[in-house]
Amino acid sequence: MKVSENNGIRIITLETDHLDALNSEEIKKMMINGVQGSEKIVLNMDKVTFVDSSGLGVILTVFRQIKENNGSLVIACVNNTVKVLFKLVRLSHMIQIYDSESEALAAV
Amino acid sequence: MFSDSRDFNRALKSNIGGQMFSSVPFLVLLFSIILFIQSFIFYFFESSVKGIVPFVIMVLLSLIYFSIFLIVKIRIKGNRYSLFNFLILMVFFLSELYLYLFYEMKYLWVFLILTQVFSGYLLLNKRYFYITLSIHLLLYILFNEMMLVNRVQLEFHLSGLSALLLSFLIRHDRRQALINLADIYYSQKEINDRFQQLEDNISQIFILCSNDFEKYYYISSAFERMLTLPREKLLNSPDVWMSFIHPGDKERVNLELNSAAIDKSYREFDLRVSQDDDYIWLKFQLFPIKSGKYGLEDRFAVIVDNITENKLAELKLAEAQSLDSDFAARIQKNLLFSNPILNIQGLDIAAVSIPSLDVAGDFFDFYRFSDSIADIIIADVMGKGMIASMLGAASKSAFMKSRLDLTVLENSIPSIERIMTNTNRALSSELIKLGKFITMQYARINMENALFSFIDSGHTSILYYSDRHKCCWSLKGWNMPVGFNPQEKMINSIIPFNSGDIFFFYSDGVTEAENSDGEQFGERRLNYVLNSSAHLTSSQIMNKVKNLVFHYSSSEGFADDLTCIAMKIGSVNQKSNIVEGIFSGKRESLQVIRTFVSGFLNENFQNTHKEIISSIVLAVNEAVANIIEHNYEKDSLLYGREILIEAGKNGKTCFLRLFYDGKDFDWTTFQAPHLKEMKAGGYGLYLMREIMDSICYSANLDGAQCLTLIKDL
Repeated sequence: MKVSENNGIRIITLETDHLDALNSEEIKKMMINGVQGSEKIVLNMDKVTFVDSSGLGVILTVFRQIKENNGSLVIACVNNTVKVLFKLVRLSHMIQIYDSESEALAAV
Repeated sequence: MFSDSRDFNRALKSNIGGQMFSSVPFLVLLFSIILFIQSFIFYFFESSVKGIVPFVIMVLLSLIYFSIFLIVKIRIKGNRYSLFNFLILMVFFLSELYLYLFYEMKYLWVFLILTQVFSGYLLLNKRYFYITLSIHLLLYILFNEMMLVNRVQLEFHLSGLSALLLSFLIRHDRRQALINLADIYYSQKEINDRFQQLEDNISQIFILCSNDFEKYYYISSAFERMLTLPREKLLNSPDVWMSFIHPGDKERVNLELNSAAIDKSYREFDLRVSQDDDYIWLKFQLFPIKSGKYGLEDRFAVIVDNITENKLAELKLAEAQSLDSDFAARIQKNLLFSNPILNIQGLDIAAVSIPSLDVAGDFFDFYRFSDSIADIIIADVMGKGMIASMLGAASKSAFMKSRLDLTVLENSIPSIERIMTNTNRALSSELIKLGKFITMQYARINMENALFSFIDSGHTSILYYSDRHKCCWSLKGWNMPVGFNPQEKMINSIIPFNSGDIFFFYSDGVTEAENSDGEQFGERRLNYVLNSSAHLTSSQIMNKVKNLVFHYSSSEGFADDLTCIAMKIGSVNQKSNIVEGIFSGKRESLQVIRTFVSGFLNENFQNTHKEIISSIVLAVNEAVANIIEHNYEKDSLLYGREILIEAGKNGKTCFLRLFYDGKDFDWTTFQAPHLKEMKAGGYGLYLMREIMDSICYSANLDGAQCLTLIKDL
């Protein structure tokens, strides 16, 4: 996982290609640490090709924490295979999803 | 007791006379010895005057007479016995007469007296006795005349008279003794004859044996009529009959006999024995009895009844009840049960329902939609009696109505969820008012795409024999019985099938049939029967189950309706292409499994949209993650076990079968937590249901679980 700042917006880029039952606990801890002290966050998922329900759980947990701190989260660069899951659970009703990081930075 | 002389003669013939030994012979013997010695002395005295010849003749005659008398006594019986004695006595007379006439032996009268006494003992026949008596009187008078010429001798008359009386006395005494014996013999014979008549005409077997069953004292002739085995064989070797007993009954019979031998008490049991190529049913009743007046029960009287007819009749009767002209039975026959003739190529189907004594609400129905699609219903209305029966009939027609309505409305074959949802909505409110409900399986078989789908509303599971896995799976569904909730969301479970597979539907009357010990027939036995019947036709399978359950519970009869449907897949046009993979049951395998599944799908369903393929991969991933999390990681015994995945293509349908070890898992939760709650988990099952057409869970009795995910592409 890579964390960077851009005009006060924190960008978290996931380096793993899958977010599933195997690594979700580990990623969750890292992400919770990663979002600390920032209100605007962009989650770049360009490298992730697979997310399952536990991965979804990670994103929702992090999102809830940001919400509690009155922050905002958008997701950028979602793979087609991951989009399938997001569509099924209608994640877009809660979290904005953008095709590129620049769009996400502009919207957050 | 008897006056007929023929009876008396028969008594003599039967050698009783020869065995008689009363006080008479002693008296005769004593008397004759005295007379004999006396006459011997007289003869000897006279021999000095008359010479030695008459004495020698007398001694020889005596010896010959007594030895012949002895032979006659031993060898000759009945009328001839009297005749011989008479002849011998006559010869003796003549020889005495000869001695008298030629040698003028004075003391010959002593012999006259001797033979008179003998005649009383020997000549029991009236005719010979009186002839001898007359001859004696003649000779006596003759002697008297000759003696009177010389001098009067008082002792001569006295001994003549006493000999006469004695001979009468002896004869009477002996005759009386013989009559008594003959009486005993005939009354005994009468008893025997009556017993023989009983024995010859009664169909039961009577056996008298020692209380340890080691020795048999009596076996009635019915034994030979019932078993093709001579009685002597059993008398000689008491264990021989055990080899005739049906192997399935042997152990039980041994147990019964052993326990009876120990506590010496009444027993009753049924068993089967082989007769020719068939078996017959015998009922054994053991009564402990005493052989003597006092003491313990040391024997068993056994009564054996042939109850084959009854046993067969019981089964016939139970089956015939549905044919009975009785009103209730007619309702069941005509309204509740349909003919399972579907006329679908490659499908062999048979059904039976044997009602219990009460009318009950089991029903089944078959409906043919097309050349390859048919629906099957098996249902059980809660409770018994007329109401259950009527409700069964009403429900059956409600399904018919829904089917028809929906077909017209949709102008195609309606899905089974639609039929069930519709019917449930129509029936539930009424059922709730009545406080009744219906458990049922609604199944559809589609031979064209080789898929079997069903909705399980709380009924006993469907047994599915898979020819590929050579074992039985118990298919479980997810719904509540009809009559619980009018808004119930029906969940369809689908599995693919193949040639040689068998589907077996049954009511709880099959598995809950109890034997005399209260033990239930159970799903395990039923499984075993199906596993060993894969080569049979559906009607053979059905009959096998019916007979086994009947014999299992025969002593009690059917407590509940016994309903079952056997459906065997003959040949399937749709050949499925299956790829197998075995994976370690750890989270690390998820990646490999995803690759395996997407590889199979991309190769076999090339025209399918990539999004759909990745969603199926996601569903499998969720299923595997669930299995690992809730089984393999929860139970240390299961940790690291493998998961077998069969990925298959059946025409346009893809299916994935996941085999794993572990406990029952409730795959029913299809309501996902709301996203707004932002919960961390609980989306997996929802995703699986959303993505796949059906998720079917089944288990076999060895603890293997199987999850079948299916999707039409």
